[in-house]
Amino acid sequence: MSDKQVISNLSRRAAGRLYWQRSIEYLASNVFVALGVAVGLVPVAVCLAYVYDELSAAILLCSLAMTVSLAGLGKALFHILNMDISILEGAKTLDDRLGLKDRFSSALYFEQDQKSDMTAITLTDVQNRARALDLGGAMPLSVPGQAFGIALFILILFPMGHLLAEYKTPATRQFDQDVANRDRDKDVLDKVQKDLLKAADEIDKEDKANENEAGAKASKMLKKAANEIGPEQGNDRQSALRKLADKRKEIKKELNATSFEEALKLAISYLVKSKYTRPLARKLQKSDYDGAIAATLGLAETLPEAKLSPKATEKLITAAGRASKVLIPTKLKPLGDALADLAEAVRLKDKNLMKKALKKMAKNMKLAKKVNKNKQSRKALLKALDALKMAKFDLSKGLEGDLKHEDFKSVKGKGNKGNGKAKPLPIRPGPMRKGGGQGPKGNNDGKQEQYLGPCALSCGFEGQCMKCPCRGKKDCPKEKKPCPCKHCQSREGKGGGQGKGQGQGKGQGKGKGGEKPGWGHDKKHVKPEDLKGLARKTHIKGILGKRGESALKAVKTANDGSKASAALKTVIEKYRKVEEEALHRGKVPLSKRDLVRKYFDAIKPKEEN
Amino acid sequence: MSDKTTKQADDFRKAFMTMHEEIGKRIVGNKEIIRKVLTSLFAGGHILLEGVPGIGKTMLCKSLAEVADFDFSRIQFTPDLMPADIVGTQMLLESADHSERSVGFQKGPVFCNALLADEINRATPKTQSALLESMQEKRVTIGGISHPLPQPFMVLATQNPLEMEGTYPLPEAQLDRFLFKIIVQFPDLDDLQRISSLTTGSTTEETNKVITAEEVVKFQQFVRQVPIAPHVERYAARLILATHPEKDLSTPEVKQYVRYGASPRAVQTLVLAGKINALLDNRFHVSCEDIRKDAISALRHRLILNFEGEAEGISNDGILERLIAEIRELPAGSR
Repeated sequence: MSDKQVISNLSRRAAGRLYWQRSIEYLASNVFVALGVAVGLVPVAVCLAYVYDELSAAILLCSLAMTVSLAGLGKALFHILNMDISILEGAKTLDDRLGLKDRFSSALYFEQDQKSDMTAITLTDVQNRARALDLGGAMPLSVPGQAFGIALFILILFPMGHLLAEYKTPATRQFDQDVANRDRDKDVLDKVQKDLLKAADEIDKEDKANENEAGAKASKMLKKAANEIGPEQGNDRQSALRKLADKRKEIKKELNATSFEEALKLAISYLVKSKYTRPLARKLQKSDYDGAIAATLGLAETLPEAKLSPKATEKLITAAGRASKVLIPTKLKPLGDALADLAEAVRLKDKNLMKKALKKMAKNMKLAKKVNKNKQSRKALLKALDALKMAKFDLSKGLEGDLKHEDFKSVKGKGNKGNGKAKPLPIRPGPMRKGGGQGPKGNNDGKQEQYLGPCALSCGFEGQCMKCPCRGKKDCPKEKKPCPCKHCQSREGKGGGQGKGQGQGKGQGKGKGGEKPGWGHDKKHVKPEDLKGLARKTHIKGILGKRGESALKAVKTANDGSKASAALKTVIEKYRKVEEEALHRGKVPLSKRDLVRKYFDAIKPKEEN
Repeated sequence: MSDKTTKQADDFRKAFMTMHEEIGKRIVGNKEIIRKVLTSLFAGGHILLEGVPGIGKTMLCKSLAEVADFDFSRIQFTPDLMPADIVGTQMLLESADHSERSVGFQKGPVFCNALLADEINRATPKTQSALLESMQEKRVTIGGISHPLPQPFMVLATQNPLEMEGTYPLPEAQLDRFLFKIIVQFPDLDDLQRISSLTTGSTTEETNKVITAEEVVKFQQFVRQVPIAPHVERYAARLILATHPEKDLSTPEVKQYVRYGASPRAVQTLVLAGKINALLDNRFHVSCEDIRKDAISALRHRLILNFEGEAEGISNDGILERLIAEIRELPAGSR
């Protein structure tokens, strides 16, 4: 190093140190502060998660902290990469640090352009200082004090956050004690996993018959949760949580839609989208449900002859299909079923099916009118009309005599065979004819004999409605009010057998069995879980008569084909205990607690939500 | 050669300090003002002293003339003072034997080393303008003939800020010719007590002549030899530019309250004063701190406030303080 360049070289080195020092300061001011914010937020997030059992807020805070940190890092890098420190700045910094009053910076110029004695004197003086200077001591690379403060803050916050996360309330401690007393050695986590899988299987089996999408989703979620909890899974927990939270919302929405008001509102909103279903929507809006049924029938009558454009067809299918989905779980289930079948028929463009359906309806109507002529059969007319209103509009199966079993899926018990004793027709004088015979049994009267719901009037025969003094009639003799018990209100069995017979001899003869199976209906759909797992697969048989058609009917119940032995309500109570125990005992990792909780929330019956 | 330079610098410092001490014998307190007056002397500039009556402005000027062995003139500026009363006039001169008569130049009081222009703002602008040439060119031109003033030449003007009745504010061109405008503050309790004891006794403090006019001229030339680095010169220039409201460097206060900023003479002033400050600090280079040291005194009379500034009673010193604080010594990206 020549003497002439000593100041330039020193200034260059000073500039280099200044560059690194400023880089450190930028990093300290941006990254350290950002990290401080980030790490400061994490314990808060942990506390939130622990105290409020709310992991989404914790995730949000952590995400915010990460964003701030990354922004700080980006800003610091941008500054550092764009920083340009000149030699003059280096010399000037040395002057400022050492209080040399621009000696180095001036000498930097004098070194290049030595003009006078004065510059020489200055140069010599500064060069001597430069040689004696310890640059590291004059310009130490140091981290700003604030960064140390933040680092200290971070060091304090970490254990604090941990301590806070581990903090247990007196109730929690008591619970822990209780759990410990139970001497449970099994791994709770494994148990939860198994239980979840089991619950999922049960729900699967139970809901398969119902075609309940919400239940199916809950089952899927349970299985996924079980997999998530399993130690072999290395999924991104947060993203899985988010997805599952979304699913949960979706399911909740559907579950909520089962409340009648909401379902109705939703159905109306779907129905107004097609011009063909709009009249039906208006009826529903006015709570004219009978009118809605009639409008549906009217629609079915007009549709076979209507020329629908593809767009209109699509709209109609969408409107009817979506409305049916929300109406089926409500008391307007028949209407929902009718709409579903209508949508299906339109989708298949099967005019024959529609015609068959219409024929079926017309026949029923005709029959009802015919019976109306007979004063004795007024009741039958009313029943027929009622059946017509409430029955599903089965376009897909026509007049085969089958009933769509979904209508009866909540009806417990089996239909009895018809007694085969038709009421004799009035004796009319006439030529005696040979023949006659015994009318076959064959009509299904649809009567139900089982009922488990309590009589709300406390008439002393709780759960045994048929033993109740009201005897299934609408007016309870005890209170002289309409019996509010479920049987009287919603599970009225209706059946009809019509006998036709020919007289033998003088007015003596036996009537022939009815031609048609009886009709049964259920005004109110009862959820499978309300059956408490006691429903059974039931077969209703009709016997073939000479003129009548037989019907073999399998009424599928909520647990049809399943091996479930308990209702969801019972299952959920059982697993909730396991869930609470697992969560409070602290064996489920913190990050998984919300997951477990969410799944149990998702599978809760609606009233528990 | 460098020894000679060092010795000259030492002599300069010694002379400066001696003069400071001698003047300080008579002028109680105000050491900073004495330093500025001496700085102005060695920079070859003029001083405008502003202060209330009786605080030693005139005494300061007289003392300077005494310690420097200067020809001293005092002009009491009045409204009826004429330019000829200052610079001199052409007169008909008669020889001693009355045989010959000729027109000759009668020198005015301006022909001296130290001119005390007492209460300069009481004279009319016409009379004030008589000093323009003498202050800048250090000569007087009468009848087409230039008469150089003796070297060194220094105008020490005083003005009273209180009595505005019948006064004529100095024109900007005149103000710009003063190196410094010094505000003489009222003495504090201790200084007043010292003034009392010094001036009311039977004896008065005598000052000694410590420097000749020739030495002053020599030191004036020596001062100019002090080198200054370009970045320091640029700092001085940026300070001047920052006083102009239309320039990018100017501060918000300057933009709001200043109508016109300092002239290029101001940068000369800053650099010359900086060089003297550097020598006094035993350095042969000027630092930014040297520039800042006398910046307010050098710039305060060169800022012309606009109507808003005048109406709101904005102080030039306040604007300059903020300006000096804001202008960085080394702008970003300096090479």
